[in-house]
Amino acid sequence: MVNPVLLIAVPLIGAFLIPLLSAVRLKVLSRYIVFITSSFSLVSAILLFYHVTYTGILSVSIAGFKPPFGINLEVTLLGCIIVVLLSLGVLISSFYNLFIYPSEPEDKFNIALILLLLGGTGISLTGDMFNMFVFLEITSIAAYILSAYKRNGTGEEAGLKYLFIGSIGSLFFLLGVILLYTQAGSLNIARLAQYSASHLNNPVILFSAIMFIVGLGIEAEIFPFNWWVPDVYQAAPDSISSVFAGAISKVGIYAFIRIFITVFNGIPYYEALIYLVLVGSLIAEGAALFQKDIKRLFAYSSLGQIGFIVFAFLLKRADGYSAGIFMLLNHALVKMLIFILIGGIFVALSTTEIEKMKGIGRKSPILGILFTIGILTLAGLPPFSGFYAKLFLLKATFQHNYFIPAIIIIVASLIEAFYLFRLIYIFYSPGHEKKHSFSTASLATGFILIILILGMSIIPFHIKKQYTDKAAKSLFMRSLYIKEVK
Amino acid sequence: MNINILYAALAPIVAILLGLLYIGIGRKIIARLQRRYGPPFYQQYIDTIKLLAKKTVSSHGVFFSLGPIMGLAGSMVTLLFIPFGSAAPLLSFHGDIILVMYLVVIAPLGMALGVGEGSNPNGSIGMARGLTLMLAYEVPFVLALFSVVLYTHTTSIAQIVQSQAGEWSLLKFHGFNWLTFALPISAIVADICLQGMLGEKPFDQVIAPHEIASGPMVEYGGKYLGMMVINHALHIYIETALFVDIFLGGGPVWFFIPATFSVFILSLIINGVLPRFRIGQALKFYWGVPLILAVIGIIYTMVVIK
Amino acid sequence: MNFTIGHLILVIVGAGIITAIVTKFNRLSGSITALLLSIGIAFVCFYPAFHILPISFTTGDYTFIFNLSTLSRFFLMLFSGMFPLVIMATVSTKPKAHYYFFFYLILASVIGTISSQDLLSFFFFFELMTLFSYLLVIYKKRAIKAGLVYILMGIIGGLSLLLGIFYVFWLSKDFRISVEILKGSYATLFLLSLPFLIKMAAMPVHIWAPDTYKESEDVYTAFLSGVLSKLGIYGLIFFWFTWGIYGLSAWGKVFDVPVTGYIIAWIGAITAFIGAVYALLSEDVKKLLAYSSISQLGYILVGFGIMSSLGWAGALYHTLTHTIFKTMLFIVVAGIIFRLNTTKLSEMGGLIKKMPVSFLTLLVGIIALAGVPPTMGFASKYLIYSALFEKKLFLLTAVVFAASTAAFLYAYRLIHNIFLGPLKTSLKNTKEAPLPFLIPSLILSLFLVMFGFFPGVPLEWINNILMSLGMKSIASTFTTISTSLGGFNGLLSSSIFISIFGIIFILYLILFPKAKWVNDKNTFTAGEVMHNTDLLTYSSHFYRFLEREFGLLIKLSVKKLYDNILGIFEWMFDVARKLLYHGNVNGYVWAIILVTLTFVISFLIGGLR
Repeated sequence: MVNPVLLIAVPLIGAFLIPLLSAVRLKVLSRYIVFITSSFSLVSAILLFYHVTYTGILSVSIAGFKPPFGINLEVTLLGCIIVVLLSLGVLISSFYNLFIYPSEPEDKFNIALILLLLGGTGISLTGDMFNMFVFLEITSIAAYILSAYKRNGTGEEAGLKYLFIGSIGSLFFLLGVILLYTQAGSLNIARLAQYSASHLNNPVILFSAIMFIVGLGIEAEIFPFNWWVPDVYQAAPDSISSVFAGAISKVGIYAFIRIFITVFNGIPYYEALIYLVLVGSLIAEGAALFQKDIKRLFAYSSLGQIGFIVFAFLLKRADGYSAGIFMLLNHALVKMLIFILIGGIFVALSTTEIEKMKGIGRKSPILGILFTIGILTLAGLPPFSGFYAKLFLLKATFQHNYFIPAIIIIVASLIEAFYLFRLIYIFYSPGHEKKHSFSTASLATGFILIILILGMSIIPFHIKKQYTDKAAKSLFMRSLYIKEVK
Repeated sequence: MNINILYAALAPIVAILLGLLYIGIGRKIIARLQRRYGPPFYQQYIDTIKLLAKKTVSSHGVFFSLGPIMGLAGSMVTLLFIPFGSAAPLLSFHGDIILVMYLVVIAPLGMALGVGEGSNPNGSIGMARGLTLMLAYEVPFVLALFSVVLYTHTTSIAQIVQSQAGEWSLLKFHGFNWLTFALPISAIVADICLQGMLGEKPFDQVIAPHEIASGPMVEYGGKYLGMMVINHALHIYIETALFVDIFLGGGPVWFFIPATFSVFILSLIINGVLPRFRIGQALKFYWGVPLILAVIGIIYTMVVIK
Repeated sequence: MNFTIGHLILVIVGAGIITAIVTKFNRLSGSITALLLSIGIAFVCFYPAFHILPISFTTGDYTFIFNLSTLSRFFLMLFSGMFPLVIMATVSTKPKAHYYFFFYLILASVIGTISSQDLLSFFFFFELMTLFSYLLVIYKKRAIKAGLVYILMGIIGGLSLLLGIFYVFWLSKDFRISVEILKGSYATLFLLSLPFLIKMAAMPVHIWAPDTYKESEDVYTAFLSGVLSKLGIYGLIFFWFTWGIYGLSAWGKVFDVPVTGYIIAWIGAITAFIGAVYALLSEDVKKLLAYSSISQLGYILVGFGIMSSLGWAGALYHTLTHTIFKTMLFIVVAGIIFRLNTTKLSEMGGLIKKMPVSFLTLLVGIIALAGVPPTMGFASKYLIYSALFEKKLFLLTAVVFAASTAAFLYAYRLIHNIFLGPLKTSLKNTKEAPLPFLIPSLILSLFLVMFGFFPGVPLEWINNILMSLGMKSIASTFTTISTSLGGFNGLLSSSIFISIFGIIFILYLILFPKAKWVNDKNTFTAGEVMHNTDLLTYSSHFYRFLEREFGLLIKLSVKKLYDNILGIFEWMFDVARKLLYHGNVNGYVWAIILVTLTFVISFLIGGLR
């Protein structure tokens, strides 16, 4: 049994360690620190998950002050899953960075990476609203720094855009928190949940819900708030795009879910939001058709998929939540894989333009196979896990009697198929005559992720039963959450 | 049944003799149309014997030789399934009109193989035109047959003949059972198609002596040409016999032979006075008026049945 | 010996892996391994002592059921019988390891599809089959572009199937098929038929077929055309059957045929005719065969659409016939391309003396394609025409007959351009196609002729299927087929033909003296002296006169229509993207503020729900 506080403390210690090391000119060690820290986080999160499976939601008070006065960590199954994903993402990214050095200054890069891990973990594990805001800020600032790390024009522009829009998001979040506090008198999430359950007609509560929609929508990349995503994913260094697309987006979704399912127990403007989200997916998938830059293409693709994931959580049913969590897992693994492989391509070709990538599938068969498996999973073709994700989602949708959303999902899948297979077509077209060596680091990381994806593909029903169904159930039963804090 | 086998064995010979006779008389009539004397009516027999008597046989290969053989064999099989009027059903109870439609194709296709090996482009062009012409006339023809099948509720030719049975006597006219009167439009369409099937002008693009040097026959000489002439005669017999059986009621021998002859002469006269279409024009023609007429014929049949 | 379908599929996958590993070491032994294993699999599927048992498993609230119905058994034997023959033909081309691996996976997914008795497994294996087929199509570099269109059309079909399946699920709350639920829904009918029409390359969703058949590896095209396209008819019968014939007439009848069937029959007839027209105008041998496939599959749709015993018997019979002769034709042509290294018809000619065995087998194939006795092609045509006559569908008959006659045209073109005519000087040293191509062709030709003599034998199996689907069987014996309108005796007509041919042949040998052989330079040229007989080959634009007369109609292309429609959608998405994701951060902030204001205003007005 690992004390969840360690999951926050260790990265923090790591973050402080790095500047100390830099002072003694041991900058290089910073990347190992990230690697070790994230490995620790991953292992602890997995252990914590199994612990919570057996003993139920865990509530840990910090510094002995019991809620509602003190801050507590409320560790849920879903939270653990998110932390697992986040630490996996950071681990992969740091492993990649061990070989492909990020741009200078390296130590600050790694500090920001650790802070990203720290912030995301905090959001996923905390039971206190303001605490969540703090961690949200930490995550955001780290993200701003990391996205602007490439000091070419695009990097700085992206970072600036992210800064503007992200700040507005934080602002709205804070407003929402304040409004809730004025009504409920507590900042503890469980307490707020209990309060709002009985005070749904209070207009202030509902107004704060709107604030949260905007604020968390920006962070969770929901349409119409996700304007920053394409620029940032494109401009950030490849390993960072991998973490963003794979993990940080999921953290944002977690925050969104936690507020709206646990605290507000349902969302006002529920149907409007469903259609908004799905239309956003459609537009994003359609936008992906035209992209000439592969990172931007997958950024739009991410937006589409995230639209579906959020839609799954708007379904108000346990099987919908389960489908959403499964999709979330699947999407995280796939996006991490793809962006890391793009990193490998960038190292070899120094470009991320799709037209210039003709024929790399033939030059490096391993890269081709890994990328193709990733694309097939994303497209939702059997036998890979993406198919099961779509299956579960559609089943939940139809059981909810939602037709038009189902049709939109299928149309979006169709559009997806178009640009994804066009990518395979370009990869395997006769093209490049020069031999390029694709970095083994990216192939190796890709390999690890492929094994995870294949694992998900072979035993999807087992994963569903053991992990996602349980997490969904615990999410659905918010009373468990509230009870724990008493 | 024993008589039938005898008839079946005799049928090819009778058909050949009749066919050659028709062609011979036909040449005389055409000549008279063109204000010539023309050869005697038995000229075709003489020509055939002359050709078959030629000694030298030059061949381009095995399949070249097999071509006319396939043609003859195909024609002979086909004619066994077409009743000789109402006198001798031959084998027509073991195969119906759909079978005959496909058997009729074997002979030209066999020939086509032989012609192809002949390596002469004239021959190949002739065969290409022949197949296109087949495409052209088959469609209205099958529609005309369709109306017959609709009317008589059977696809067996023997039964179609029997359905037009009546008392045949030299003195009285029993033609009112004929399908020509029951389904006039279809009969006209079938006759137009017959013109193409027989390969008479304006539909003799396949042979087209002036253009493509007789088309498929260009490389064949001597005995082979003799076989092809026999094949042509059989072909005439088959086509006219089919028409008479279906639309003119078959009839006993004394009616059947003059009927087939008259049908042949009718098409020959049209041949005598018309020039030749281009193959594209032939296709356009057949898929124009005759096709529409055939459709009208079927609608007419459906109305009549009610 | 008993084993389940699951074992069979696993064995096939295992065989694929073993073959792939062996091929990595030595390509030839890899091919031999593939051949032996495929024969083994076919043996298992055919030999009655091996009982293949159903299997089902459940996880959570999902149940998957696999069972071989009578229909499935028919297709199973057909496919597993064709598989070794096609593998045999690949021996000469010495393919790489992943070729065989995907090939076996395709067979496994095909068997999975035909044995699935619940909707989800069906979809799973159907998509799997499309995916692996795509991977095998792009084995050749030249096929990349065609493969893209192939997989995209496949996915369109797959998504349509998925939507249809979920619609059924919504109606019946179950993924297992139940008869009552499906009556009377337009959407389900369309959604569940589209993927199979795409698979069968019916017009207007055929656009993937010509290029994919042309560009994919030559022997694999035989499998694509022979086996994979039949999954289309299997799927149609599988799904339409569950409606029950009575359910279909819920929309009324036309000419005593349900409206839905009538539409399918027309789609089939038009496909048959237009496919034949494009075939006879092709300049490339594989494209000719591709359009021919499209055309022949149209006949199957016609038979299926008539919705009567005769119609379905004709459709199933033609499925069998077409599989046999199309696979054979593609294998023969693959052998020819192997020797000649060209697929253009204008570069071939006069090969009859150089490749006699290929010629003979192609000839039998052509005769079967044309539907002429004494091959089994006639029986299938006979059944379809009888079905048409029985229901008095004259317009359809006209179109089908036109298509049938047009088939003669392209069949003749095929054999003439390759084998007949003068031998091109560049082809002087051509040898016969290698044995691995000839043996399967000979075996298949034997079947074509044998069933021509005994047309009742396949009909017996088909009658079993018809009875299992609740329809009347067709009266037949081993040698005859009889319908309510007439009948024919296959043995009699075929033996008469053979005997007459024999008699005349003997007479020929007796009466005709030894022929003087002349070569193909010695032809009638009206006195001209030809130095270059290559110029005398009449092969390119064989039917130019047709092109001239019908030129305008031929220029219309469905592909352009698709391009235009896609263009419109792309334009729409482009506009949306430029409008929304414009990159100007001020605009983004304004957008966020606007959305917030919308929420706030509606909150103030509506008072919230």
